[in-house]
Amino acid sequence: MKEQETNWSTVPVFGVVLSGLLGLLGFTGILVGTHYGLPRWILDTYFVVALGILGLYVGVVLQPARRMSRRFARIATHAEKAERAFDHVLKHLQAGDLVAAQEAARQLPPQVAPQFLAASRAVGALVQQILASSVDIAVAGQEVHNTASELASGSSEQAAAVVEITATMEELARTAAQIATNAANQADLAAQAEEAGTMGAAAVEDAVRGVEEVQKRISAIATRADSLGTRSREIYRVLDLITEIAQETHILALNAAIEATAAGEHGRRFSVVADEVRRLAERSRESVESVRTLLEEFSASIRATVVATEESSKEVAKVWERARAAAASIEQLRSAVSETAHAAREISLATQQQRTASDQVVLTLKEVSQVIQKMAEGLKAFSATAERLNQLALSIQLLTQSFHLDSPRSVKHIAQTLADALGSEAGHWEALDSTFTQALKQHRFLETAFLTDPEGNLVAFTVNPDLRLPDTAIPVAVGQNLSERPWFQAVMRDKRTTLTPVYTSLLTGQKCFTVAAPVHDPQGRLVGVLGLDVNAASWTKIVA
Amino acid sequence: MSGGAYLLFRRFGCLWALPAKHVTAIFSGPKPEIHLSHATVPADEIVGVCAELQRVNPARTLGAFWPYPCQGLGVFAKEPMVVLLPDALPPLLCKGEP
Repeated sequence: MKEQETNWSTVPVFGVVLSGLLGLLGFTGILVGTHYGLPRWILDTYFVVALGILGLYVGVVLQPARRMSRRFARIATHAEKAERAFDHVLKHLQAGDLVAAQEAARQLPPQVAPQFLAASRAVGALVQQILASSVDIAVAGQEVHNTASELASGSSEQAAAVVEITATMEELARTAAQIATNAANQADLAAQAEEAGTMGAAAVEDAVRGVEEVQKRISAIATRADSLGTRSREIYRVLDLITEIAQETHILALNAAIEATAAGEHGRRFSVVADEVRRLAERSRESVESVRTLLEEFSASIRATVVATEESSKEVAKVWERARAAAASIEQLRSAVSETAHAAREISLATQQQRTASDQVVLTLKEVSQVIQKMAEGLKAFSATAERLNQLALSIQLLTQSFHLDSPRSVKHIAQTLADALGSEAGHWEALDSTFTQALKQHRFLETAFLTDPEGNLVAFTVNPDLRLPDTAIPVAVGQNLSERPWFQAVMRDKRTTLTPVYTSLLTGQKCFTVAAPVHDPQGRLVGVLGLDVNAASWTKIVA
Repeated sequence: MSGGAYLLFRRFGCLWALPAKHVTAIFSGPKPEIHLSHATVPADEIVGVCAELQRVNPARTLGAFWPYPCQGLGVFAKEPMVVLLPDALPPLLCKGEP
């Protein structure tokens, strides 16, 4: 701009010089001509024309050129101011301080300030959106990591269970084979039993027929015994008749003897006859009694025979019933044995098929086990990938935190706000612990808050009371020089709020990062460096 | 001592004797009956007619055990008996016993 302005200012001077040189050259020529005889009016005319041209030049070129020069000077001043504003804004943008950049953008020319503010707000919104998205990614990655870990654990358990099931199925296959063998043996035994049952049924049928024959013969004996009983009763009647006749004869003989006695001597012979008749009658009666006795014994024998035949008949009937029942039982047993043999053969076939199926199941289970193991390995890799995703999301969050946004989610904003509050009370830091404690309670993701002087000596160090750590666990002490710490050196170098990469906290052993901000007093002098240790996991949850 | 033929019968388990000449008839039946002219004597068994019976007259001693009048005691086949008096039959032996 200055070069252009110089060009514009040098144009009339160049014209004047050029005109002077041309006039001087013309005047020299006129003088030479006059000396050698050129007319005087030519010299006068020359002067008039030269003065006219000079006046025309001053009026037409030199004055506008001066006005243009002043205008360009004003433009150059505005341009220089805008350049400084742009430089300021760009430095803030380079530092990621969108808040300061927006503040500085108010110094930009009004033609570009609104567009720049809109663009800055859009960038801020974009960063916040990226932050939110990264938080979502971190949460999702954590959930995926947890789920993948659970699935991996479950897959391992499933693989173990499948191994157990495989062993069980193999045992089942062996058992099925044994059952098949036993069933085949059982089928053979059942076939033998069926054959024996058939033979037994035939034998029982023969026994039944024999018993029926015996029953018929016993019935014939009973019939004959009954007939003998009937005949015996007839004999009894005959014996009774004979006895009666003998008694009558006896009585008659007695009467005859009585009569013979009454006849005296003449009846003596008759008495002898009568007595003989009476003796015969007596012997007849005695014989009849003997016969009766024998007949009674015979009758008793017949009755015993009848009773025995009846009992035999009953026993035979029972035997027959039992034989029939035995035949039916044998038939049922044979049928059952036949069904058992059939069932045993079916069991043998089924168990053989079961063994084949079990072998196939075992093969399938082995394949399933391999698939599950591969799946478990894949899930472990997936879990690792999710963990990496979570770490990547955390890195993105940290990258977004490199921007200082006017947002409660911005740790830079939190640190800068607290640093501004401390700077306004510079020289009155007696209650730093309470200020830090209040800030730590307000932001529970902060592990510690501390302040150093510009030389790096620790002025205050406060641990979040929610951590409930003993004082012995605090790794630093007031007065300790921390000027070698990266966050201190970054703040001292860049003179602005900075973030460290994620590292492992000495206090909690968890991942954390430090945000450090310069503390300026109201006069703008650096009076200290504020440090906040942020627990990454808690901060991610809070942000989410 | 002999006094003619006697009809011997058994009753109540004892052997009794009646003079045959006083017996009119003997009837058979479930129980034989001895018919006299004025009485009927049931018997368990008619033993027979004894032509010769050893008989002794009733002594005082017999009267102590047998209060009814009788002809005496007799012995047949070593078995003692009472020889009844047909006119003085003990009611116990007569038909229609108590």
